Amino acid sequence: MELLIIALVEGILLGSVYGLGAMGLSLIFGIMRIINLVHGEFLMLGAFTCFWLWFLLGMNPIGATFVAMLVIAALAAFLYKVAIFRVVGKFPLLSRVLTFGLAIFLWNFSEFAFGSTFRSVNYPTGSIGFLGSYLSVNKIICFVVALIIAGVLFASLKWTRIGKALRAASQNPRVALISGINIHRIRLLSYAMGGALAGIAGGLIAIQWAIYPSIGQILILKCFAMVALGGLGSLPGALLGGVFLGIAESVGTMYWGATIAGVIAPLTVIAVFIFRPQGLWGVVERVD
Amino acid sequence: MMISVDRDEEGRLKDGKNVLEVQNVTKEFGSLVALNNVSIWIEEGKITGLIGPNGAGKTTLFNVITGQFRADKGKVFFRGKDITKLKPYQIARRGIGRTWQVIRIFPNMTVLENLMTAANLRERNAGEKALELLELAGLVAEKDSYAGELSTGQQKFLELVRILMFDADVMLLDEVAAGINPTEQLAALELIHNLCDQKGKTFFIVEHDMDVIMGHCDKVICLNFGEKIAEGTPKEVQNNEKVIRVYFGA
Amino acid sequence: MNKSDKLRLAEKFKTDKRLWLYAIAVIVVALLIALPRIVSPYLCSVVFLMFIYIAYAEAWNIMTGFTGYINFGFSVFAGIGGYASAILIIDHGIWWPVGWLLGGVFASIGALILGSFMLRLRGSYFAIGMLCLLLAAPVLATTEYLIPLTHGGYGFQFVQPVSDLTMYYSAFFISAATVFVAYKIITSSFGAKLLAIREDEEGAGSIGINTTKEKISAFAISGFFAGLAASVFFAFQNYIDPSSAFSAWYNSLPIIMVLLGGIGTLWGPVVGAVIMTFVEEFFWSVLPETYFMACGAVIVLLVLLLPGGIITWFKSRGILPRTRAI
Ligand SMILES: Nc1ncnc2c1ncn2[C@@H]1O[C@H](COP(=O)(O)OP(=O)(O)OP(=O)(O)O)[C@@H](O)[C@H]1O
Ligand SMILES: [Mg+2]
Repeated sequence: MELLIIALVEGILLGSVYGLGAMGLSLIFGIMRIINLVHGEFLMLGAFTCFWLWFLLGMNPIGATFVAMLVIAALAAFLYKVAIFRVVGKFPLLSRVLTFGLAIFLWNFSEFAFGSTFRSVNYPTGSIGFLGSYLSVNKIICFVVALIIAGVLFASLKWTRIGKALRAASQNPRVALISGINIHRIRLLSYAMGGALAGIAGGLIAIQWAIYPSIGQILILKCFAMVALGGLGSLPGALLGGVFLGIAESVGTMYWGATIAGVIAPLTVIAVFIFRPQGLWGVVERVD
Repeated sequence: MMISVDRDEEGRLKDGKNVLEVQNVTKEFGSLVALNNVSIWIEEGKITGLIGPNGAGKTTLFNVITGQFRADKGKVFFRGKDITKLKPYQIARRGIGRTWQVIRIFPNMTVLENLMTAANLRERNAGEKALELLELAGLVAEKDSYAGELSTGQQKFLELVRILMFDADVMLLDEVAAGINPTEQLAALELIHNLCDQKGKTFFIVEHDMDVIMGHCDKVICLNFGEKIAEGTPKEVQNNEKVIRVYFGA
Repeated sequence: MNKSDKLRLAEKFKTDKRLWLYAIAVIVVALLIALPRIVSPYLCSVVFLMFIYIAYAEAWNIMTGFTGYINFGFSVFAGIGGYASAILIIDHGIWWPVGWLLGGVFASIGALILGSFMLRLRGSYFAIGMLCLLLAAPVLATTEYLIPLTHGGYGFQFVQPVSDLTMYYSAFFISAATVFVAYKIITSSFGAKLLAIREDEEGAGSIGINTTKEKISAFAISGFFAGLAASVFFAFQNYIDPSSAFSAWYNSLPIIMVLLGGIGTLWGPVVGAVIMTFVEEFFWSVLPETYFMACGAVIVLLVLLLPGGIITWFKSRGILPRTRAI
């Protein structure tokens, strides 16, 4: 029982970090109706940015995470400006294959530039006793950061002018177009924000885990699972999905080992898509 | 309308002899009632018109009949059989074809291919049949052009003959005459009459052009806000005070 | 070039270039048959790979190019085929041609089963679902339940079942068969139905097309050729393990080749496969470290600059006639 509680708590801590990444994916989908297949690479690059800032400049990892946010947001904005905008709203095959190609490029770029060795940020903060076991303070700090970011995001979507525009555009891109919202700026903004969220999540992942260039593939899978659980395009759904997946994985690892836990994400996606395509909490929504 | 032996008091053919019957269909979109307890019947070999202002529920009625939407309440019968729960392709195969308000041909396929999509896989001489239909539509010369390159009128003809390709008996045409020039309009109406008279096809057409409706339909049904407000011969409907109120806002 | 010029060009092509085309085709086929006697074994192995790639690309095209459903999980079927044939040939001593054929059959059955629920998903859902399937496949293959079948991470070591020459001709035959079947499909009303699904699935349903059935059929056919070609490929490679069977690389390769040549066209995948075989060979020897990166960049550039691919570009310029047979 205690083990289960520990697994639950670990899952929630982990899931909040995952959830940030998934919210980025969901935000991008909601506004542009494209599946950002480079998202995993954004996470991976966020993690590496954090790592290198810590490793080369001796930066505090949490500070480095926020720099990673800016870096990946800038990268996303750049990619949007040169490539993505050309395929938004076109034949969906184009955007899927384009982001797929970008993912292959960025992944292998990292393999080439960083090598495929495992790396990790050494951020010793100690641990606290918890039900006869230990929880590392790292994870708690990451959890708090994730909650703050999510809170700021929700608040700004709710109360700022630009946030309202984003929500309007997400609910109905066409209505937004008619009502004079500059849809291109909104798209650029949402793509950069998606990148920013991935950047932070990546940084927080680097603080807790070993990272390597192909981690992006695993991470995007988890993002898919969370977004599927929460309903494509829903931000709170993505966060909840993150917590759900985090719990499923940590409990799964405890009972069946890490290999089986690895297929939880992909199988969740498929199961949810088939039985409840609107997500566990979402409302029915037409895709494409 | 006269009441004869095989008709009931509403003028409906008894014993499910109407080729198509819609019984008490209700369709809601959230709080919007797009169809409210609508019942209609279509007689075989006749041209029935469906009129009503924008948003009256005409297209929704078509969508319910062809299975695109599932009715919330009520049933649809085709030749006496309940088709309410069938999938669109099954309904099409039973013999109900439709065209769409916004033309829905396959623009990146050739005209001939567009017809072949509707061919029965087991049919031997589908190719010849397609050519015959193209002749009917006056599109033989364009058979290898991409459908997207045709004029609006030609596309409408193509969409129309495409449903003949799978031998539909009942054809629901959503705004046939809209957006095409008068010559093409005449040709389309002539084609419809020919199919009706010579091949016994049944037509159910939505049209905003009153001249078309009054001059060519055997029967007219009028919808308003999802309710059937009138039905009868063109004359009867034209003189119906509810219809007049809807159209002229008196 | 104005429209009448284009038409004239197409007409001219029809009459006097047809013969030329046939002549060239005969020469190419004869050359490919005689090749093992003419050139070095190394070049032969490259051409062998080219045949496999042609089959892969055309198989992917039958699914994705014709129906518009993006299969990001192509390697799943190649992997199932490869594994099935390896298990049958090595563990059960089945005669190799039968083993290969059964590899295709099993992949096809896999496609049928997976397709019958995955193809209920539309658009983005389908694309993501297939990607998830691909990423789950190697993990599933190494779970303890499947280890007795798959030998886990260790995989299979083939005792080379047949000579390289036989492999060469088998691959040749398979690629030709794949293209031929694709030709039969795209020029038939079955093909027209598939294209209709790509263009407008709802509209296709309204004219009596059972879209689910047609999609699953295309999926199964595509899976068969993927599995068949993969069987021969892994036999040639002499081993199969989870990471090679479900490799991300062989998953992306058909996508690149089809995009390059022309998605949804008959000969596009062939053109793309031929080009990519030699590009791959060249890059591998010149810059092995940046090869994958370059491929990612190529995909991006293709989507942005030449979204229809080479064949479509030629067709739109009127250099090639706009017929489905090309
Ligand atoms: N898929 C849908 N979801 C929500 N509401 C819908 C949907 N389809 C139609 N409606 C609504 O149902 C009502 C009836 O629409 P319908 O398209 O049937 O009208 P119509 O009579 O065909 O009008 P028009 O002459 O403009 O074509 C409208 O208010 C429309 O907004
Ligand atoms: Mg309408």
